[in-house]
Amino acid sequence: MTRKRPGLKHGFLTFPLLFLLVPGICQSFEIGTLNVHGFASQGYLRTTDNDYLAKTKKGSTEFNDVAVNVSKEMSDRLRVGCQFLARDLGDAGNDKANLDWGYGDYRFRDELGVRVGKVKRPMGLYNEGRDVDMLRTSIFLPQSVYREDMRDIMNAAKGGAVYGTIPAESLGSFDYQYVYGSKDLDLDSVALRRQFLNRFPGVDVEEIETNIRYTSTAHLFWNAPVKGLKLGVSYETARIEASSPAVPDTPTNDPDVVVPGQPARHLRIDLDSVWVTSVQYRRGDLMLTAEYIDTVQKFTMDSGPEGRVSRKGHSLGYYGGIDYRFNPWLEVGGYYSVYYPNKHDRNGSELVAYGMPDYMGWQKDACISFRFDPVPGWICKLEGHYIDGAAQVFDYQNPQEVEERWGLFAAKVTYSF
Amino acid sequence: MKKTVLLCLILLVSVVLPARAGSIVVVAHTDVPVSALSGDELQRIFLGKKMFWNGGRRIFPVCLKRGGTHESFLKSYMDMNVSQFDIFWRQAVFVGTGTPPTAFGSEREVIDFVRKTPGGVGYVDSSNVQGELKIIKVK
Repeated sequence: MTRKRPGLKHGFLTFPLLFLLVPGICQSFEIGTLNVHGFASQGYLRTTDNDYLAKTKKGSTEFNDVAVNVSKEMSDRLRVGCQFLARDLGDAGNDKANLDWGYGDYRFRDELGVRVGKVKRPMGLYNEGRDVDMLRTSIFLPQSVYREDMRDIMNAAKGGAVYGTIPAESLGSFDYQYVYGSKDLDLDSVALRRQFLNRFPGVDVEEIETNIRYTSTAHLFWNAPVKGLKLGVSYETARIEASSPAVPDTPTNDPDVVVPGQPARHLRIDLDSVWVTSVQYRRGDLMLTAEYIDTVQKFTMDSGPEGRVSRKGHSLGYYGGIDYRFNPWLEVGGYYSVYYPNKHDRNGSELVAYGMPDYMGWQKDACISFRFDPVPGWICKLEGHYIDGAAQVFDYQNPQEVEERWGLFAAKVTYSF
Repeated sequence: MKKTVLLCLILLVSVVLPARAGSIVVVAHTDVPVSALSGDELQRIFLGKKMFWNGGRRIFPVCLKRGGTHESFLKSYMDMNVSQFDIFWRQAVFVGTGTPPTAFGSEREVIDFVRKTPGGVGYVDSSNVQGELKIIKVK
């Protein structure tokens, strides 16, 4: 069950400043054998048209993260740790600190380990580390595969995982992981607002209960015998639920006029299958990456006396990217990312039939990123996107007309220890 | 004349190029139950994927914080540059999947740690090897 809390909309440098202004905590340190790490970042977003994730047409600084983690090796085989993360991205996060992950990790042998607690969900190359800006060249991961509106659903789950590395002699080695769990969801997020709010008209957001009933994720990487080549596949199923109470009829001042209420509603989103295939090739300072995602989902709305409505959806996305490190302080990267919310309507003709613009049926994003590592611990990034289509532009953030072609500029500074 | 030019070229190359795999040696505590590792095994050790020696004793890999020996080791044995190695371990730290190898500022400290720590393994320039250590051959 979740409750929306009052938003802290100031955003700008709220938590990052705490790190940067307090001397002595801005470096990794150990307390006995307790390891302490953290990061803080502050970003800026601006779009030429279309508000995207935040109020970006006028420029937004509601784009920051801060995290602190502690871990300790209890024995040769047992490690425990946790991380708290606070983030803000427009309507999402609002700088509220949450347990990002926290678990006990017991390694029986190299081929088999077990984690119990709140664990990160592996999917593709970057899902586990998607909130950690320093792990990549770009600011935004390709949105075709790592959709920002799905972040809260894909991020982590309370449950457990088994994992390990299996050497295969001349075939290289295999890294595997399986995660099963559940999770409460917070409606104070872009994703869930988009998915749920317009399906519960007349209901206060605080009255909507949401959760991930279960999620099951299997993930396999093959470290191929070709130097620098890694191939991966992930498969996931999940069930997401949202319920609202009935809204009673409301009489007005005129006794003959009654505003009709709404019956109790129950929405279920079944992610029947999410397949992600990945390939990454690293040679020296060059890295090439490509990933493909195919998602089949089913929406089921149970509206009490109105009966049950069910609808299937099939989306796909893919991208190809290149990164090159020129020297210790400069890395440049770029990707081209394509997303279709309806695999069977890539030109948006079905949307036109419903009175919507066809370009809501795709989003094609050409991105170039510059990453600067001026001194250890500090990272600065600049990034430009040219985007064709608006499939991931949220209508609730853009009540007016949505533009087909638009640009996004992002900048971010991160400090880590 | 040709011999002189050739000699000069060899000298120039030896000065300009960083130390290569031939001058880096992998060293381990004397109780380590192997005398050779494959390149894949060494990579898995320094990426935290191989945590136990045959027989179950924990492996304690140690690194250098920076410098030519560190860069040469990563390039020659790990197929990584310093940034890629750093990013791999930062991901492990912030996703919670592992603890990075202890990093020392000098080869002297690496040797001392490996010599005193059962299961310890590290790398140093071959000219700095001294004391009771097992030299691990990398196949």
